[in-house]
Amino acid sequence: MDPANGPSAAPRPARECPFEFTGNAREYFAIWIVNILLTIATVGIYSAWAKVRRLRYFYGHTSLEGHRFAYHGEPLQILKGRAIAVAVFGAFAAFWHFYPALRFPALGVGLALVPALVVLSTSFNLRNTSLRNLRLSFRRDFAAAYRLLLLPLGIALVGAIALYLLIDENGAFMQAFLQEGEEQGTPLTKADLVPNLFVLMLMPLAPWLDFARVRFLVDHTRYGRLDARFAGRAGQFYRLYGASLGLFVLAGFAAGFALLIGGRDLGDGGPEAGAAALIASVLGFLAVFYSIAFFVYGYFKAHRTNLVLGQTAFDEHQLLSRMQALRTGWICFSNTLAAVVSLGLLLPWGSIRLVRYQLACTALLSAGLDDVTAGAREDGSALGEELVDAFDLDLGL
Amino acid sequence: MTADDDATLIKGRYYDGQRATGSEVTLRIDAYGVLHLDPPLRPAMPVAALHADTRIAGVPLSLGFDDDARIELADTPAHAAWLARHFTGTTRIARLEGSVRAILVAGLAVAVFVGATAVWGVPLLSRFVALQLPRDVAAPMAADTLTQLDRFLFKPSTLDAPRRAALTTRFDALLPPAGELHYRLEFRGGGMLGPNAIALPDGTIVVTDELIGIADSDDEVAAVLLHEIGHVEHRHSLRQILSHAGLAVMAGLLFGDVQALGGVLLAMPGMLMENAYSRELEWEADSYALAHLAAAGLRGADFTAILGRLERCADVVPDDRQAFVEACRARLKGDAAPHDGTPRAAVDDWHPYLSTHPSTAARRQRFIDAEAAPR
Ligand SMILES: [Zn+2]
Repeated sequence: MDPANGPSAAPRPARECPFEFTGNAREYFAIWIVNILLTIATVGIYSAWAKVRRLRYFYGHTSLEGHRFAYHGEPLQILKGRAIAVAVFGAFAAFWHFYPALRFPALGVGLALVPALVVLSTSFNLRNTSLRNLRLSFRRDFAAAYRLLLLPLGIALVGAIALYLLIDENGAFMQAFLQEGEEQGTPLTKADLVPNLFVLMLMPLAPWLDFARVRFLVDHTRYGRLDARFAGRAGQFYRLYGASLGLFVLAGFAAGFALLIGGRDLGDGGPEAGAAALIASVLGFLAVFYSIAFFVYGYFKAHRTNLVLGQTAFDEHQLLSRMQALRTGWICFSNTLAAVVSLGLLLPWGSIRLVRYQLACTALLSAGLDDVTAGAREDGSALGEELVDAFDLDLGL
Repeated sequence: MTADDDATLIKGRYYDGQRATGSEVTLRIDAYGVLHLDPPLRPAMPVAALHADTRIAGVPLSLGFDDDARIELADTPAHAAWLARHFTGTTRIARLEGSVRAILVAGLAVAVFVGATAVWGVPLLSRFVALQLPRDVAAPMAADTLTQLDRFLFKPSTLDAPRRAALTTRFDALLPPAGELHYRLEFRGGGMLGPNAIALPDGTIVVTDELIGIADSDDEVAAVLLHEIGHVEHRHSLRQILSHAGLAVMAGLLFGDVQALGGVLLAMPGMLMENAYSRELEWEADSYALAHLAAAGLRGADFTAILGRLERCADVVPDDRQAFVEACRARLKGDAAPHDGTPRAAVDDWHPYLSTHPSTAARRQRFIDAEAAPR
């Protein structure tokens, strides 16, 4: 690591460099509670500083090859972003409640802003992350971000219209749909099908949308001069979503079955006791189902993280991730339980625990990052540096 | 800055911001507040030109130069003391976070504040804000709510015109002296809601055929209408929306960084709080009814009677309107001798925490007591 030596002459073999995390719950609890206290005392203004302290703690306790990560977000800039976000969301909520007629236009405007906001906030977060005092960065490609959103919406719309034209006005399906409306006291027409068909067409596109989003975000990321590249395929996302959905349905059946067996003894005892038993069994079902859902969520989270990180490489430096489904599910489940039982006091403990596990499962397959150099300073500043800074919000997306 | 030469030699790691390699370096600040590096990777410079990050436990201390170069120092007590000596204010918050007493005080203060805000702050604040807002702010929302209810729940009323006219006349007599609001009585079939009355913030009050059907007299209906007018007069819809928003903002500030699924469970205390607010509002609407009963020529017994009927018929499935009213009336007739046994109490025990309404028994007792008390 002596700079005098310059780039090493012979290429060293790549090896697994583990990520290390040194944060602990005691220290983070102190930061967390002081953050909350000062946020309250300053009527929310300190929350920007609180966020910076929290992220600096987590980044600063994460290291790779003995070098620490660092977070450089400016609290004042975050505060500005938050003020704008609060104003926008407040206006939006007010419109939603008080001007129902304007709901859909407001929703449309909000949706149209999402790609731009994702680009700006990703750029902000990466630009403020460094390792070895070299920043990550994000190429702000707004056009690609909008194509990413419009393509699936367009496909779904075309598909919905095609299906609409294909459905027979007098066919069995249409009759069943109208019947359903009749029973709910809502007279329906064929035109009422369109929103349903649109959602129906959008659903199978969800894994692809996730895939395209991840690819977009990774492919526009750089570390110094290294370009990140996502090698994952859409098929892998479809398998992951399919398996998770299957597990979720299975969890529902399992919970229902468990209650069927458990609830049989409660059956007799008059109508009043019957009502109590019914409530008890519904609550029981929810408890069992909710517990299992954590493990399904753990499966999804672990495998998605493995997929997203494991298929990401910064030029020849390959990321590796080996999270386990059950372990992840257990951590999420016990974290939530602990947080509820402790009235929120164990939340910081849970955060530390999850990050520690996730980083323990992550490594970089690399011959070392010593040769990396800084990239061009702030590429594509067509908008003008000041303007970008004013709009480089952090909305926590 | 100190006037004395700080003889402390500090070991750190220098990153130039151009390459990924760091190099070991020794720092010394002289009597004039000038930083010297050894080896001299860059010329000596006054400390005032450096940006020092505030200290965070265990995170490397960091000194930044204007050209992206940076020096990292391990977070040791000696380094922290050195940083505090030369860069004022960088260790203040970390000291607070490092003190056990400060943490205990912070925890206690946060707990008291969160509790007090949830119990008193949010309802008081939303009440205050609701009273500041113009009355017609909620009009479009009310119109939309009625449209949605008509679409998904309510059915057209089957009440005949003379009956409607009679009840409307009765309703008009109950209204407070003309204000900004235009009160209006609407009749509907209750559908899934069964016997019910609903107050919308613009002064529209909807009463269902089922409720009129099980009432023994128009006096009983009038008592319910008074309660609903109480909801409107005290701007309860607006207050509910505002306190919901208030809780959401508070939860967001406190637990903003909670993971996805955990959020669902942590929303439960919020739900319980909102039920508590709702019970408070029902109680307030009852107070309004109680205060205006006499002026409207009604008795407390009218209100308690209809409450009792509603409770007895709560589990009659509101199927067809006519059938519902008959089933309910049959049951009430069978009630001449009270037969309510113990099993029901078991359900009622935990019911208050989950309910949006105060217990019917408590509400009835209040009207009975008021009637008995000498004026
Ligand atoms: Zn009420």
